[in-house]
Amino acid sequence: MSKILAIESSCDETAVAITDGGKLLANVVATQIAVHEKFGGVMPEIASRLHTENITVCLTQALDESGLKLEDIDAFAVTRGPGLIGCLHVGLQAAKTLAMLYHKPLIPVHHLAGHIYANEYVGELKFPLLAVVVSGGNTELVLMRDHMDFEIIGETKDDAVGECYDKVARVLGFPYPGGLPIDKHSKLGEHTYDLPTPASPAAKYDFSYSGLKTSVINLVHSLEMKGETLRVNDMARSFQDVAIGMIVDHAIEAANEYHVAQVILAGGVSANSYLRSEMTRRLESTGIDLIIPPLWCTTDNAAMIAKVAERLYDKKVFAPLSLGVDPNWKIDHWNEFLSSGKETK
Amino acid sequence: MNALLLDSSDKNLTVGLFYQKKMDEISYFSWQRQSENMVPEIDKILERNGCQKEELDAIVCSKGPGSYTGVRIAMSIAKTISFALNLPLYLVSSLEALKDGDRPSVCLMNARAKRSYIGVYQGKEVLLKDTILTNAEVLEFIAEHKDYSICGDVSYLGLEAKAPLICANLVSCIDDAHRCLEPLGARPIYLKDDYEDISHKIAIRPVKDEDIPALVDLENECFEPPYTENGLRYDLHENEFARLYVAVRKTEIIGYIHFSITFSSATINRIAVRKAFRKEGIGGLLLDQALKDCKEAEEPVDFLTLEVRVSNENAKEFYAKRGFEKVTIKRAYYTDGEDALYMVRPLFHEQNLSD
Repeated sequence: MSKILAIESSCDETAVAITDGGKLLANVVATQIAVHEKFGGVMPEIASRLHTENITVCLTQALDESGLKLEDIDAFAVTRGPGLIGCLHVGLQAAKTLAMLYHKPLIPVHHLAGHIYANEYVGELKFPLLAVVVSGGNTELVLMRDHMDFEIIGETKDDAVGECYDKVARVLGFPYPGGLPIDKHSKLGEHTYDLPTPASPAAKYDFSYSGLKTSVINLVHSLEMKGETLRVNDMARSFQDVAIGMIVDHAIEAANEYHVAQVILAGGVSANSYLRSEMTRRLESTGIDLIIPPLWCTTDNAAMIAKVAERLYDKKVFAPLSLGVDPNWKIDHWNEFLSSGKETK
Repeated sequence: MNALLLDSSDKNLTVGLFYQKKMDEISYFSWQRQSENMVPEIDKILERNGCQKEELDAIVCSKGPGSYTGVRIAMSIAKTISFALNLPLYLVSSLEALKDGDRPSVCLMNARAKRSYIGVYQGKEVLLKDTILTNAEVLEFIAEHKDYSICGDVSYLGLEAKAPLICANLVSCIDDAHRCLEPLGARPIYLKDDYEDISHKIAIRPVKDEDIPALVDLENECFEPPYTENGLRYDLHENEFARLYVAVRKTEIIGYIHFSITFSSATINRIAVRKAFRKEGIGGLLLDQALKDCKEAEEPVDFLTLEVRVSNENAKEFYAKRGFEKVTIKRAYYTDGEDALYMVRPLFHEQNLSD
């Protein structure tokens, strides 16, 4: 049984969690959304500054909640990528410092592996499984044949779906982040606008969102030129149908082709109600299990980082104190620390 | 008093340990490697001196100004150690950390864009609070104070200075004046981007006839082909759609915007900022003025459009960040045959989205 303290600072949430043998003792998240709302998106320099201000406050609160002392912790885990580089640095320094002071292992965790493993808080993973990873920075289909075995079978060739939501929201006059307002307004509208489903790029399960975004903007602009009123709710619905439809179609086809036992949703966009209901409907009576993460797991947090860290702790995947961040770290590259990583003293 | 000393505010990495009245230090060039290197060096210096973490009495860290990421690295580590070991945290200006003992010292760091971070110290006394000056102003200050020591890596000014004793300076700052009373909330000093501070210093006002020569200079610096003096005069006095504003710093015109509001749409024709003042948010202030005018226009303005050279990455990024979306490419739009990217930002009138 291991006690793990995990730190996440890859984007706009400063988060610290503590687990004991898989049980979540503390889960602190300091969100910066209110600040970034003003800019219509995450401003990396400002996010990095807020992480620096918040980091030890979050650590203090997490320790208080857990009732543990730093001396009790068996390993310190941290998100080393992907994410915003300036933001990642802050969490990394804190984790490395603690690992050094207490002579405990430092565990490097992949942010998206965290989102996938967040589902372990609600159900048991069954393999082979297909993880649908959809967020502001990623749109990926990940096939897992076993624990910590990741194969990316499809990914976006341009914008991530969450990014596309944010941009379309801006064109429709909705606030940042755009996922929730579009989801809400789409329920009030009909699919009346003709938006082309983007042609699938070369690989079968890849995605493309920049064309869809441009279609919405062009359509909004041309309506304006013709002096027609834009029906915002209908546009939100038309957009959501296409954007989410593409994910659902790819996911179902892949789930069948790879004969998976389970499909799991992960990442910020998995909070989308249409994605949740469509995946549920399409997988009903197929014999394929579906896990939908609770809403608190769809946003960034450190509890999910701790979940992955537990697996890595058992495999002794430890990083040296000279660990750096990797804003483009690939999900299947964690094993670079498998043999080279040495336990901190 | 055993103290750990940290500085990574510029291109170097400095880790010092003042232990049993002796100083040990590690300092080397570590530009963009401070994130990897600093914690291992702390580990090393504690170990080679046989210093247990329980023996530490204080942690001292430079707080900026300097490289944003660099300052944050030392600060994040110092805060974490202070929190974990419940140690007092002392924060020292990264300029003060460069001073020449008790001699009057002009402490300098390159702030880029032909400017310097400057602070002037004499022992515990602050003669000039840390600020930003143009390099020309700095050289003038130095010329007026020939007896002051010049401190810091001043090769960017074509000057020389002896290597600073950063660790000795940090240790000398273990006093009440430098004690951080709220280590949990400690934050770096960035100086340059107190955004409000910068925007207060820049005034945006409508163009006057006597500004025209400065606009011609800006045009020549920023555009090919530039607008001519006669063209600008025509737009200012006779073109009823054109609107022109300048950005003024002190008394100097450092940027301008030229846009047209034609009934329900508006077009940005020019946003120009002098090279030395770019990346400071001035373009954003000028754009805000255009947005404000659009909002206040008699007839509602629904779209703000513009063309930008496809090769102009900085401008494209600037507009994309501010809500402009790429709509199409206009082939051979410019006289030299280059394509233009046509970008549009829809403007929305207060919609009720509060549900």
